[in-house]
Amino acid sequence: MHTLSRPSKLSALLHPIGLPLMGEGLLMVVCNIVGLLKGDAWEPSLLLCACALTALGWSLNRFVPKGDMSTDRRLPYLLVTLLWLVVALFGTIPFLTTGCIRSLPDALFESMSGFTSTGATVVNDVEQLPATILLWRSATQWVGGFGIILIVLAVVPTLGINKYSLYTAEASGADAAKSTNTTRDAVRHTLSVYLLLTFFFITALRLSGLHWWEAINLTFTNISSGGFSTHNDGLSSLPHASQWLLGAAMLLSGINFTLMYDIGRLRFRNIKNKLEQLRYYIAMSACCILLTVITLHFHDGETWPTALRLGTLQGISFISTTGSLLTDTEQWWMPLLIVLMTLTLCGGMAGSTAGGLKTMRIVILLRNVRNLLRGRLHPHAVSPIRLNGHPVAPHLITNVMVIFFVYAFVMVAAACLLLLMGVPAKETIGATIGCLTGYGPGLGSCGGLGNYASMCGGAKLLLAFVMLMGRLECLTILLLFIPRFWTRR
Amino acid sequence: MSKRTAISHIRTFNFRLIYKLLGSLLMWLSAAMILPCAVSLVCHDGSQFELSISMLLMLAAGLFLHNIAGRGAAYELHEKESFWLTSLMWLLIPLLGAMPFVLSGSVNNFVDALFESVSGFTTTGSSILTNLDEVPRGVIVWRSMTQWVGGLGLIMFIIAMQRRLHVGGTHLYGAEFSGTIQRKLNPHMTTSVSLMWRVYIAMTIGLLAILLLTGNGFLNAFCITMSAVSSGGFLPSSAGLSDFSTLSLGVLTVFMLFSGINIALLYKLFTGHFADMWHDEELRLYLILFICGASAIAVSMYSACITLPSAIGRACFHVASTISTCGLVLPADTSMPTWPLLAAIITLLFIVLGASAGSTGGGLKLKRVMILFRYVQNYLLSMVHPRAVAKVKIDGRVISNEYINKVFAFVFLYMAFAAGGTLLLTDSGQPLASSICLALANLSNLGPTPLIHIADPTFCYTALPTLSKCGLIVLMLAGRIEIFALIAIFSPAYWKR
Amino acid sequence: MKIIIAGDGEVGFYLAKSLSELNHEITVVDPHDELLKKLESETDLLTITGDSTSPKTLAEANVDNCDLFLSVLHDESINLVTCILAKKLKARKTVARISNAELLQPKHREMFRDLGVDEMVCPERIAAKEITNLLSNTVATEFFDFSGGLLTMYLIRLEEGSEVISRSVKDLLATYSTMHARIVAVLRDSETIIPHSEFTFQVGDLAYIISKPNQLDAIKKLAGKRDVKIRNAMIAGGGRIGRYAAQTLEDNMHITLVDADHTRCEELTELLNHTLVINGDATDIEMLKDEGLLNNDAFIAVTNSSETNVLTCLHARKLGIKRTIALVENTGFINISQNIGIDTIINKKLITASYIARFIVKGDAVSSKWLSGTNAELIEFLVGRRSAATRHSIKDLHLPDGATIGGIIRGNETILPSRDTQLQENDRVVVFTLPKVMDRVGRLFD
Repeated sequence: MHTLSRPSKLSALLHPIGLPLMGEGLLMVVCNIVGLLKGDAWEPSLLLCACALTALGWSLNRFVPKGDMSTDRRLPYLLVTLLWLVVALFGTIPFLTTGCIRSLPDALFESMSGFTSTGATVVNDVEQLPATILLWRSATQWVGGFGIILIVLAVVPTLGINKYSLYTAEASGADAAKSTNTTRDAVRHTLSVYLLLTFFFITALRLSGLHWWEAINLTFTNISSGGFSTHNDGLSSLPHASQWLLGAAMLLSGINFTLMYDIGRLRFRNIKNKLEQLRYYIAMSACCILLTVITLHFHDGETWPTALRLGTLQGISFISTTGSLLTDTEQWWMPLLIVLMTLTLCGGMAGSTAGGLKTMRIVILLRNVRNLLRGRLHPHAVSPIRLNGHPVAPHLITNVMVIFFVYAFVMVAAACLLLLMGVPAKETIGATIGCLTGYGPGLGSCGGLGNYASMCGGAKLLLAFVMLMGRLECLTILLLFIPRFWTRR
Repeated sequence: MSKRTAISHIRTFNFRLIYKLLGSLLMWLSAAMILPCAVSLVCHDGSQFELSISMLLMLAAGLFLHNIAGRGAAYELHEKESFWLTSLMWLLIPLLGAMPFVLSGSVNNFVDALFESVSGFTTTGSSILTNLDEVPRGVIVWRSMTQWVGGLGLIMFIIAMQRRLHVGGTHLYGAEFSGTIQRKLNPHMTTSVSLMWRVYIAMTIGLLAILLLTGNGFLNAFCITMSAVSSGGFLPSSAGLSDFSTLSLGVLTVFMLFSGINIALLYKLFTGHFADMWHDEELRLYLILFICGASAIAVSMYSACITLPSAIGRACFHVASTISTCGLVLPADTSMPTWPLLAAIITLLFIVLGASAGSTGGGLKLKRVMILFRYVQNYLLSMVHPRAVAKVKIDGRVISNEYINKVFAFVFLYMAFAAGGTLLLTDSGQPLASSICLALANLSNLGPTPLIHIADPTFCYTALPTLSKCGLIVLMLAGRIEIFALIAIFSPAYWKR
Repeated sequence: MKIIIAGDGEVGFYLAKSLSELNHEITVVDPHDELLKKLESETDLLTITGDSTSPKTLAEANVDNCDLFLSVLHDESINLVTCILAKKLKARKTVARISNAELLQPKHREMFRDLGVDEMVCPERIAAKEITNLLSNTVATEFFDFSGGLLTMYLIRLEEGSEVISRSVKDLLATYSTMHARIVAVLRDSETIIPHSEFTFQVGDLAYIISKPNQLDAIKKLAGKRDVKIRNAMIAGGGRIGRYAAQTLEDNMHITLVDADHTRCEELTELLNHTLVINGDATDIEMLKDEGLLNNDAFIAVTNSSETNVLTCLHARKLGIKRTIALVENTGFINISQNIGIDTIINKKLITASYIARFIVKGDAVSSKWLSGTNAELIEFLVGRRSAATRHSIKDLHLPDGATIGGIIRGNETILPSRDTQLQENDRVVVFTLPKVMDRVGRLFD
């Protein structure tokens, strides 16, 4: 630890946080201004805090010298963790200053749920919230959704050499470096796709009959695979056209953004490398949808049109880890929910805003297991795992297995702690999966249209932490818990 | 055996040998059935006739397989055939072993009988029988003996008996114990396996003698011994352990703890190599877990208003029973209405972790868990030091990456099976929490545990729908033969020659 | 003394040269004819071309008549066989060079003695031990304990700010009369000087200081040094030296070991428990920095290439690493390296020679140490019964020029001698001596 206290290293951690904090402060002001249009009052304490935050961010950016990130390999990991923690912590300001959420654990839960685009909420009555706060919740998800892609594209490469696989942004033989020349390009492309999609869906939703206000909020929360809603009943009261549009937004939010850029620019050569993942993502969504539709029709006795609509949209919501609700899923058949929760663990594509283990990892995982089973029958066979026709590097397979195990470990550990805090078993399992994958709603009282309000403060803090774990794919944070990380260099 | 036949058998699949080995195993089992028959005669429980019929049927099947289907088999066994044998055996033997239950009328339908039989052979101990006192004694004895036979593994039985197998024995061993990476006790596989049998038999006789000396009836002592050393868990009567003295329970605790230790290490204990035992990291972890778990549970039970000595005793018994995946439950624990939450969570964790590799117990096995945790720690450090070269070492020996990959895959499959089982059980209307407990307890071959009764005090397996019972049968089998062999049967590549 | 050296390279030749300077009768057995010719033209000794495991060759070298048989080939199994043969052919004492430190364990020693191998030397092991010693004592460049620590010799570089700079020996003696330490020799510009009373010290002098125990703090102050506690150390080169050093050090500090060969790295991970093994080329300074070179307190370069070792050490020194140790095989490099600022040089040949020298020196030499950078030697003698030394006080002993008595251990008491001190029987005397007078000194105490 003594080595970290060197000023150059500390500044390498503090300087980059300045800009995001400044942005956060400004975003709060913007939210309040927009809220004014919707009839909110000025929130002096919010504005004051926002200004202070902006000033803090500015001074960090201005006065702390730019440190050298390359002197210590631990810095990128610390930075990423610190960034999400600090941003989420300051993200509680609007909730606390307006008095909408009074306790700090609650506010932190809500804020973390926003910035990790999870979508789990502690608010009992969303419709009572002032417009400022509603917009703030949606905006945090929109920012958080893009933030994770930014980190994958911009921070991970600085971690250097073959540890590119940390977030497995680009797997298989051909990686992002080939489709775009520089990191800057990749960020620009992704940002343009993200903005374009946002504008498109806002307009489309407006045309489908929603008010601007709802169009903006819902686009923000669904394109980032977040899942906050402005209504207590989720999306269920919206016109069907809007629901289908949002379904499309959720589906897209689970697709790799660079891939979407390449498709948009008709660069089919680049697409080929990710096509297999896309195919599997679509296939898994189709499975999810089919399963839900059939169960809804045959088991729950819904009519075909309803079953088709609810099944498709809710299925997409599960597989893209969005967590928007078209109906109270808590009423559904338990085994179906278990299957859907398990599929949520699989998640969307790498390089998208979705959470979970990521499609590509699941594919590699299953192929690896299949290979091993085959290997027992043909001990001398050499059959590398292939993805997009390229053999998958052994370290990538390792990475997948490790992340899978770590996910399982975090899940078990979090579940045990929650149980000890007195959360009932069903809620525990649901909440752990919901928060770890970024889906949001869990099972039981926190599932469906329910919320996390009834849990104790400790459980909320723990779940906020689990959300962060899930968003940063566990490894980054788990690394900080290894004593050797601190003791040696 | 001429050279020509040997060569022709290498080229084709050696079914004959598989039949022959299966046949010999069946004949041994039918010989073992003499004991239940005798008990039945002595007790006049009216099942001697049915038991004798099952015995004769088994003998007939064995003779047929051994002498007719397996005539002139070449003693060449390869890896793929070993798999076949393992899987076939684990399907066939419980099937035939279910006969006494059906014929004697103790269970009504065939699935129930199969459930009971599989539960015995896999040393799980989950029972479908509701009123044990009405079941003929002979059947009860047979039920206990299935656990004992399954405890060390049916394959081990074959390896020890068929000294002509040579290399084939090693393949067989690998087919059943995909997880062990220990050195053989002796250069010959058959010899090392018979050494293990000797340890196992010595333990059995030891426990039986002590239980008899501490004043238990023979039948009771015999059945409980079979359950304890094989980490099974069947109880011989509905009174269960309630008429056991504290001393007997203490002895049982120790032997249950033994049954969760690697048998090769127990051999070292018997031959006096204590240092080797203590240097074994897995054993140390096992003991540490036992002590920590027992003290935590004792404390939580103590705070739930029992006297301290009884809390300690009960906690030790419970933890030993759980960590060795034995599944003997004290009567006081089953009827306890409010089991402490901490105790329940620890129990659940121990069910998943399981016993040591190479023991009669089930679960993930501590060695695997150790390997994974060390590997993950290395991996995390390699994120900071990308050029670092690090290996996982257990007992100072390096574990190969290939093996680690297999361990990961095993954990994945284990979780997949647990999830699948949970799904099936929730389908039958069980609450989520008890579904998970049931699935894990059966997958880990633990069987009875107080956890099941927390969510649903009146729970019994008989009430489950047939589909769930079949699911549990698959789980028990998967847990016993460590999943790989079971899955192999269902993979298409397996059926291609 | 009749000494036979069986060798196949530099260690053997180096030993042969230095021992023949001490007027021993040396016979060298070596399979390389041309190298032997070159050696013979440079040094006065007998050479025999041939395989040392052949009894015929050994007989040719008059093995039945030799006092000491040294087998220092690279291959340890040849050395062991050679020694066994030599012993059976009536060599009086045999010494084998080995590379597997496992054989040195006490339980194996008796077995090898029975076989006919009297002593075994593992240069890599000794080098690693040296590194361990140096890291646990960071002030001195070298240090050496005599008689189980009753007397210690330090080699310390005099830094700027030292209290002794520009002062003469006489002046110092007056000022620090109560101090239990004394400077026995000074190494300046590759020249060994035994200071007389008018001698004045300069910055950069390497001073050999003999002291009683627990004087280190005072000496540190005197030499202007500050102590560094070593917590993290990086070792470049995963050969035997690096491995042995890591094995002994890894329990007490964080060790990072860098080696370029991936297979070797994997082997190392099997042998080491807490060491972080890095696969990379030690000449790649950027890589070393990336792996946290700057956070280390010590840098030890023990790769096979002396040049790499010296250069990386210099670089590390420049980056601010407090302690650098380099393995240098080329004896010609040693002085230069020390002059340009590397703290310590380790040389396998010197170490081996120094270790073997204890079997050679006449008289009852208990232990000896050859000092790097100088050809001088520190020898601990046991004063024999009726030896010439007991008859006079030190000033009347007529010690030859190039020799000085550093300290005397009498029972459990340590004496730093003055001119009037009288030696007694069974005293242990630590003598600092140049090789040309070593024999005369030995005779004095015999």
